[in-house]
This record gives sequence, structure tokens and C-alpha cells, in this order.
Amino acid sequence: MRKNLLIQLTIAVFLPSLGAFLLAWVGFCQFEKTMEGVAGSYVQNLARGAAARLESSKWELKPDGTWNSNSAYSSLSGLGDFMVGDLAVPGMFAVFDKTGTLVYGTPDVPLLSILWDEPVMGMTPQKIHGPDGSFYTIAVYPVLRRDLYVLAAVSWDQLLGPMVTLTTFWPFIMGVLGLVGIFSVYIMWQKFILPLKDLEEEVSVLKWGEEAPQNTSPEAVDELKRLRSALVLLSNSAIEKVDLSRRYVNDIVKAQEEERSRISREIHDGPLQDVTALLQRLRLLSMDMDAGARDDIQKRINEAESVAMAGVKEMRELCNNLTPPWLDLGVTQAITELTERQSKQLGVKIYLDLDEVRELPDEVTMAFFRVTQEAVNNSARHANASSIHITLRDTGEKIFLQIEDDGTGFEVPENFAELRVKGHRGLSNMRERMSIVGGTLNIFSSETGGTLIRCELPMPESA
Amino acid sequence: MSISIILADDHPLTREGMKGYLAKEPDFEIVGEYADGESAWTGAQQLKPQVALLDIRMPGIDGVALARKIKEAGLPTASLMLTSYDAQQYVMASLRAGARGYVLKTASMETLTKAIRIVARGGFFLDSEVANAVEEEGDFVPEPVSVREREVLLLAARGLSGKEIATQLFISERTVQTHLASIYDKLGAKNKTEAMLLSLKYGIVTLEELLD
Repeated sequence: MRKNLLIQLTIAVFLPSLGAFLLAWVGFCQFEKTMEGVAGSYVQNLARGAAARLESSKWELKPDGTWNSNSAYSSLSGLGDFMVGDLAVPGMFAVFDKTGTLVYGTPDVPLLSILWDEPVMGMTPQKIHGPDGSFYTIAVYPVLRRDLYVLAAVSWDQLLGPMVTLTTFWPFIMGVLGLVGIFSVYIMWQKFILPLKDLEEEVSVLKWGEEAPQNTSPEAVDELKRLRSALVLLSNSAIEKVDLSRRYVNDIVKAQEEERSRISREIHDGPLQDVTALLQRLRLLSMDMDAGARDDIQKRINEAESVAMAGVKEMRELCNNLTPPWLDLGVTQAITELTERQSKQLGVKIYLDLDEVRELPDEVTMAFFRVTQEAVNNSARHANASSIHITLRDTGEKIFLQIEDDGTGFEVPENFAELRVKGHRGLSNMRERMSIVGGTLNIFSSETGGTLIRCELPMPESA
Repeated sequence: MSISIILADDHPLTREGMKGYLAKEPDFEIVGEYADGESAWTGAQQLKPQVALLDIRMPGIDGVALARKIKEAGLPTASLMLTSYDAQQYVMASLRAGARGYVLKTASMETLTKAIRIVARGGFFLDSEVANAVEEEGDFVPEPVSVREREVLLLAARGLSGKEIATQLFISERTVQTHLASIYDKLGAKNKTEAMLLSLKYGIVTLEELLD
């Protein structure tokens, strides 16, 4: 009930308005019909009455075209007296012969002549718009014995008077009220309810911190426009905030990687080279010694050599763990080398299906590299996976990385922020890594086993 | 006949050490030594040595790029990478760039001199430390690889995915995987890169075929 209250309210206003309008129309039509009926039967009576009198044998038409009274009435004008004398009610009539010549009429005859000219004349009464602007109902009645016709007419104003005005105005006012109601509902719908619903829909699916609502709703009322502007302002500032924190994280990650890479480079170029040189010196020394040199010295030198060799290996490993130098070979090679090492180190089978990906910016290569590193580590260490499948694709539009294991799996929380809380910091970091280079990372897993990590990075080739 | 060698390494101490090794061999002649890629490139063009010992990381042009330039310029010089990097991907990158061999800086003198002699003869040399499986050194003779397996390996070496190989050879992807697994097994390799390197080492495929 409350869910669609706004629409229900609208309907509650709209329906009565529509009802009033329709009722007004029906009322108007009904009144019109009733009045037509009243006027019609009245005028028919009038015509029939006149004709009945003419039927009686009191009157005769003489060959010269004049009427003759057989009784007390002696002049033609007597007919008028007789007729009009009885006519205590509104109305008028005229008598025509069949050629259309006026034989007799009440004082309004000129008007009736005009009405007689109307082309359609039937036995049924008709409503006619008179030359003076008001309505008339007319009826014709034949005087059979004399080949004459009686035309009777009555003015609506005379017969019905103020009723006409009332029955015309009342539905009209009702109709106008109804129309105004409907129009108001329409305007309210267009300018208030629709924009409000639009705004509500937009806001309900809005990704806070990533999107802002549109700032245009030209139809809406000012209050809604201002509300929308305020929301746009708020969401823009949220976007800025997210952007700022993303840049901040980005800077931290970048600084961290740069630092790692610098340390790695310095170890590689400094101590690693020095110890390598030391190793070489020891070997040269051992070679330079006379064949007859003391065995224990030779042994010491050999020992020193293995210590130096161990140092070299450790430092190499250190460099590789900090920032692998082979990252600059590109993401495909970097992932290949990484997983080959991880496979040996962690004792897990890794199957690669890698596209030869075009050259990518360093931070992107690094992001894919770190995600793979973390994902494989997680699969082997936490999920006890025995095999991992890694797929890398370059569609020209997108770079796509997928890591799938057959490990124990886990329940992925709905909200990613929970990952960090639940101790899956690595997963959360992976996602962060992808997001700062503009990509997405999704995790599909369940407690029944297996985890699938899917990264997508939009990167059109032309850009 | 002596072998003319140039040495490019930006680290003076290891350069000295190398020189110390090479001086032990009477028929090695160091005709030039450089601390950066640019000057090494100039030196290689002028001196046209038989062997160029190249560090991978150097200021200016790096070793891999330098090997490529030498190959593209058609110099009669065999590039031998001499580096601290033990990544197999670097080995592949170097070989693709045209290097004839790959030796770690920590390699023994015997290994180094052997490598130089082999590449100077036009051969191919790979430090056993970058292809770990071959600790056996020489004694290990791999089981013969079938013609089909060899085909699969070559296509895989060119960077084709399992699916692409399957399409090209009209076999199923599963069969491709079976072939690869069999190759790994025969060579004692743990992965594709190692299989490629080992098959090169044992002469199952030639460098030219692999890089075709």
C-alpha cells in the first residue's frame, strides 16, 4: 500500500477529475436530449392542434384562394383570432399549401417563412438554429383533407427559459473543472513525479564515489532541480575523494615499488658485482698457486669461494624477490619466469596459456605480475592447490588475466572491504593493485573448492 | 689461431676478473673493453671481433639490444651474454636477439673458456646453471624425441598457445599437452622455457629452427 503511495495519490486525484469531466459531458448530452424531447413534443402538439382545427369543416377554402367560414366566424382574419385566441402558450405556427404558399400565419410569420425554407422537413420535430441566433424546434403536420400543412415552431428561450442557460453552463463549468484537474495532474506528473522517480532510480543504482547523477532535468520543478544539483555536488565531491585516496594509494604503491626496484638495482650493481669479482679473484688465486701449494690453504680458498658463491646466490634471490629484473622483458615473459620459479619453489603445477601481450606501461606489468605472484602464493600456501591454470589474453581492447586453482576455496564476502577485515589482506591488495591501474579484479570461490581470480584491464590498442 | 674478444661490462671489478680469466688462455686476445653499450657498439663495428662478451644491464644500450644490433648489422661476431641474471626468460630473450650463448658471471673459468671457444666456432652454449635440470653435465643423454613432439616443441617455442598448436597440427589440445609433457619428461625439463633451452643444449633443435 505504502510502496506506490505517490502513484496511488496521483490516481486518486486524476480519477475524480476525469469522472467530473465525463459526467459533465454525459449530463450535457442528457439535458440536451431531454430538452429536445420536451420542445419536440410540445411543438408537435401545437402543430397537431392547429391541423385538427383546420380539419373540422368549419372552414373552407374558396376558389379565389380565400377562406370562408361556414359559421359565426365570417372573415379570414377570424382564423387568426380563433387560432391565436386559443394559443395561450408560447409558440407560433403558419399554414402553407402544398406549393409552399403561405396561407396563414401568426404574427411571427416572416420568421417562419425563413424556417420553412429549410431544406429538410419531416414529420419529426427538428432543432434548428434560427436566424436570430437562438434555437427553435419546428414540426410539420399535414391537414389531410385540405392539402395543407401546418408548420409550428417554438423558441427554446421562450419555452424553456433559464433552464437552457443552466443546462448549458452547469456541465460546462463541471467540464472545465475536470479538465483543469486532469491538466494539473498531467503537469504534476511531468514536472514532479516523473523527475522524482528518475532521480530516485538514478540514485538507487549510483556507484558512490565513481559516478554522479546527471545534472539536467529541464522538466522538473525548481525544488527537484536544486535537490538534483545538491546530489550532483555531493557525488562529485565523493568522486574527488575516492580519486584522491586512489591517487594516494597509487603514490604509496609506486613509491614502494620504486624503492624496491632501487634497492634491487643497487644490490645488483654494487654488492652482487663485488662478490662476483671476489669470487673471480679467489678462483684466479687458486689457479695461480703452485701445484705444490699447501693443501690446507687450497682448501681455505675453496671454502671462501663457496661462501662467495652462496652470497651471490642469496643476493640474486633477494633482487628477484624485491623487483625481478626480468620485468622489463614484458608481462608475458615476466609471468612465465615468475611462475616457473614459484612452481619449483612451492611444488605446485602451473599450466600457462599466455598470449604474447604488447608492451605495457611498467606499472601495468607490475600490477599483473604482483597479482599473479600473490594469487599463486595464496593458492599454494593457503588453499593447498595442486595445480593452477593461468590464462593471459590481449584482445586489443582489454588485457585479461585469469588464475584458477583446484584448492580448498573459501567463501567470498559480498563486500570487498570485509576481505581485509577477515584477514584476506592479500586479496584486497591484489584488487587495489588492479584498480589503481584502472582495472578490475573479481574473485569467484566457494567452500566446496576451487578459486578463480579474474582481472580485466581496458586498454585500447590505439591509446 | 687466436680468438679476438671484446668485453662489455659496466662494473670495473668483474671486468678485471674476467680479464684475469681470459689472460690465462694464450689464444684469447682481448681487443677492446667497454663500460657502456654505446662504446661497445662502436667498438664492435670497428674491430669486428669473433666474440663479444656482453653484460645484460649496461648504461646506454643493454646487452640484449646490443646482441640484436650486432646480428642485424651482419657483423662476424658471436655474442655471448655474460651476466648476473639467472632468469631463463633472459636467456630466451638473448637468444631471440641473436646471442649464441649465455654464461653467468659466477661461472668457472673452464665454463667460460669453453663457452668462448664454442661460440667462436659458430656453436651454441648454455650455462648449466640457467637450465637447472642438467646437473649431470654431459653424461645425461635424453631419450629421443619423436618427430611430432619436436614439431609441437618448435611451435610452442615460437610462442603459440596450446590451442593454436592444436589448430595448426590438426590435433586436440589435450594431445598437444600430452606431447609437451612427454618432451619435458624426456629432457628432464620442468617447463616450456627449460624444455626449449635443453633441447637446444642437446642439439634436438637448432637455434635457427627455434627462432625461425
